[in-house]
Amino acid sequence: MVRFDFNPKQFGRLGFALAGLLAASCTGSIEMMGAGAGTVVDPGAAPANKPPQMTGTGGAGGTTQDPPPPTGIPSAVCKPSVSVSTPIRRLSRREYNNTVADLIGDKTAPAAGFPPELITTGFDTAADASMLNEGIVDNYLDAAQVLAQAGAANLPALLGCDPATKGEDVCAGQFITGFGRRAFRRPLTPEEQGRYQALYAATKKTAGFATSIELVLRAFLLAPQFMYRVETGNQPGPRPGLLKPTPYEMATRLSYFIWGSAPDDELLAAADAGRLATAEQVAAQAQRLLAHDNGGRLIRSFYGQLLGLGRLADLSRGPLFSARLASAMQQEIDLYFDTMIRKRKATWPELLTSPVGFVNTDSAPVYGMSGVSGLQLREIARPADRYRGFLTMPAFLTMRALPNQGSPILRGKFIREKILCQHIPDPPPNVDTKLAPADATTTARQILEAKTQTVQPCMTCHTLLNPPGFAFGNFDQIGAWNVTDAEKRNIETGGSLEGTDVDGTFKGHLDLIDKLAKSEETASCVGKVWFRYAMARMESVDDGCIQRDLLETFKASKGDIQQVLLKLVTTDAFLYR
Amino acid sequence: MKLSRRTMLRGLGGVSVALPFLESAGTVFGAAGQAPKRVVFIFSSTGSVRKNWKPATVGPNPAPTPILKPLCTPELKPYLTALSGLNMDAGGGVNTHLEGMATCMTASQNKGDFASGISIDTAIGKNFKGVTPFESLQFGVNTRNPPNGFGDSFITYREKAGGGVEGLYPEDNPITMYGKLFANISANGAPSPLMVQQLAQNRSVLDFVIDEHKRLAATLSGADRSRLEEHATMIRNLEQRLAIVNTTCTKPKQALTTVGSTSAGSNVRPIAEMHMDMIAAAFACDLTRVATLQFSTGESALNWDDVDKSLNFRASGTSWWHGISHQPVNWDPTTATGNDRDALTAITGIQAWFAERIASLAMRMKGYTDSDGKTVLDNSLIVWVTEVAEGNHRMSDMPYTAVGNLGGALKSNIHLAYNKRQHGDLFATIGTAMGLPGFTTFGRQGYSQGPLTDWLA
Repeated sequence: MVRFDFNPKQFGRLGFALAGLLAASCTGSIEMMGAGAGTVVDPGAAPANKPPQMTGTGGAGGTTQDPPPPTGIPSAVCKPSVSVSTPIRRLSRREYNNTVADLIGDKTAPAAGFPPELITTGFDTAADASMLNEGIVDNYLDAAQVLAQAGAANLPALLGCDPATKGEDVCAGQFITGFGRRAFRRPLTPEEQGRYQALYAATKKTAGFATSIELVLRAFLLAPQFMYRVETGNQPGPRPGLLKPTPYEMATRLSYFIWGSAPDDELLAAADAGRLATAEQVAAQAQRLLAHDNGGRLIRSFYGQLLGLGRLADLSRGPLFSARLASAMQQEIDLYFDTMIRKRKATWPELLTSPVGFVNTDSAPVYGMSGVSGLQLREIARPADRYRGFLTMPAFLTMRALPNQGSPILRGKFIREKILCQHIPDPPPNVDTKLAPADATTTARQILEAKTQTVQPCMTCHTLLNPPGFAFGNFDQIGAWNVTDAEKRNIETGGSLEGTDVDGTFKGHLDLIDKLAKSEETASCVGKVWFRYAMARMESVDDGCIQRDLLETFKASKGDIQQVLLKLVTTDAFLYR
Repeated sequence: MKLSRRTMLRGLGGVSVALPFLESAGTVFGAAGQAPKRVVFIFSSTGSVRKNWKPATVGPNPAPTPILKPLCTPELKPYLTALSGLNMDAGGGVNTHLEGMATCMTASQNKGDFASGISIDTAIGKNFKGVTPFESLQFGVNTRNPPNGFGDSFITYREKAGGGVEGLYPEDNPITMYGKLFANISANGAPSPLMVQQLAQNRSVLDFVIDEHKRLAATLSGADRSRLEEHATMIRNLEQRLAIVNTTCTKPKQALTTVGSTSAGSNVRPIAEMHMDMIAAAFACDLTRVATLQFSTGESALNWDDVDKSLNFRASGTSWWHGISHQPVNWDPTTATGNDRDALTAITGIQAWFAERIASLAMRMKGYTDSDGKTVLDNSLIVWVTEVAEGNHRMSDMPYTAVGNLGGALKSNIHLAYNKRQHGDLFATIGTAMGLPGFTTFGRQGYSQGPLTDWLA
């Protein structure tokens, strides 16, 4: 028999970082308590101001007055975007790995062992450069050295130029120009070109050609223009206060958003030619990047982080759980989102409810299937009486579990925070979070309910958290289906959803998922979380128009995620600084 | 074969030739016949079992206890010290694992689960800036395991440029650490002309990059500008290592050449063993005077079954470290029954496992002859710390174990019992015994009273 304590910091630094955004009590901090009920109309919102002009679907463009916020979208008080400072941003570990893979073909993920980013928005796109310390700088020095050595070991491939026929200095000059352009995401200035040429020339004298190229490459990989994204574009935007990033900065925004990496030649050529000036041109490039093989990186990165799947293989989940099973689970959910969104143009309700699954020999038993052989994943239609969408996938359920049982609190919290975009504060400090074990007379649910849903300070939040968590009670710590608990009792998964726009009773997880698929709150949450990922910041009241436009696009496309993404890159927040 | 940047540092070890770009760092070893003093901190999480740890009698030659038994061998018993009765009150406020981690090496007041002062390892280490290539070294085992951000906290903190403190992550990957410390060190330490040339090249690239940071910084303003200037300063600091002359060093055998997931339970022991090889060798080579070896984190999700199946920690129904630590209601092994007894047995087994690791580290250090003809262990101290006394989050009567006596500066083979003294005093004693300035107290004002004088020899 086991007793668990639920720590206030289930979400660690994320919770800590967001603490400033959370009010002290649950009642005060859950936004959008019900359709319309929580609407806050900012009396200061100036209706005469034009909404953003750059619009695709949604129809807001060109109107001279803001339409009233669509009913049931409490937070969408439309205020036109204002300039938001864009501090220099150091590449995240993921971005660093992708970039060196694309630039020099190194797929060893050298930044994987660097210290993790401080996460403030739920995503690593907002990696905060202020977290810099000597340890990280040391990591960069080591990585650049190893990368440069490996790169220079295959000089012909690195240079793309034959020094024997063209001359060493010509090849070096071409390398500095060409590699510099990719690494700095823009053409080098003449001064930069000159400095790198000088470094090359000085080293060549003492160490020879190959070593000098290696050192130049190392210098590029350690250059601030490579490690940091710097935006300086200051041409006026469509409204006072908004500035246009340079075409190269726009190319960089696009490629780091969608590929998590530096722009390719085509994108840089578009910037050269001034073909990233309009929303349509930006959207067209976004569409190209998304359809490219590297486009899958965005889907994997976004949903991996939204679902917090990073450490799946390291979890302890009992004797049936293994690194191979973790790998199959991870591959399934990656493949699910990528296939559904990029290949099948899935809508959000489809992502929540699709029977599509992918199994191999390791993961088939979790779904109760036998006779599946091989490590290659194959597509299956999961039985509809148990499985519906990604919330019933083993990767998600295993992540939101304890070592020996599923966790209703973690699952409920995920639905509240990541599907409904509500804020649930951590338990107050010093609250006793120990739970007695289930026994012959009392179920785990009864114990948790008695402990958290009958007394303050627990019950305000847990009344909201627990029911959607209990709905998944049939799924154990590896997402396998259990009809009964250890005492052979049926597991009670029904409950009542409160504080949403789809309140009411539900019979179990299938019923709950169907409710969520119809919820406009989840629709608006889709826009919010994508906004946080793409803009590397939390949305503010000044982003009201954008939130509204994203929701309009969502509704017009019935929740087509690709359409939402294309809309996102044409919002003021993406196009201007 | 190419030599790494690190190689250059270490490869020049033992050189007395004057090279134009090498600033002499003075004698790395102390005055003739005096070996340097070193200290290593071992952190293991979730506490101990008081009654199975604490020796029954106070004073010299304490009898073995279930937890300390591995350190009571004839070779090691003369070095063993148990310090009981010290309280860890300086953190203040909330007392749980993460807060305990923040204060366990800093003795500072917590800000949330973050410390407000520097930790004892960096406090000692900063005295050796420019003397040893590394002011301090932080080794980790399974410190990034926790899911959902559990236990994502620091035990090592150092001063931050511009004020305040910053947390330092330990390095979990022993191969990375090996490269950092020992890659390509030549056995005899004589620098070839090639090594000298490559050292110069390494410096030229870093100088170039530092200039690039400053140049770009000058075009920016405010926080962006200072961020890049800070970055340049950090590269400059790291570059300083290229100028430090090191002593002749025999590198340890590289026990692992590949390592899978550093978070896998099955890797805990092999990684720990390799880290300990390196700690002992780093001391013998005088690469540093202080090291920290951190085992997991306060809310560790490690399953002990994955570490060592023979230990059979599942007797109590789970082998989940943090989980087990919270099971006992009755913490007295003499009266505990049923689930309580099983859990106490499991925790005691884990603690004895750590005592075994510490014993093997001590024996490694005993295997190196120091510059004064004694062993490295003779001139060192191993200190075992944790973030809570027991899994019930008690922060009083902490179970501190030490092995070594810093060249006779401390008493050993003794159980010292205290009343109303604080764990900052333990650290003040260590700094003082190493002969370092600034250790009249350690940590939060009003808590530490100063060195434990009865421990000083």
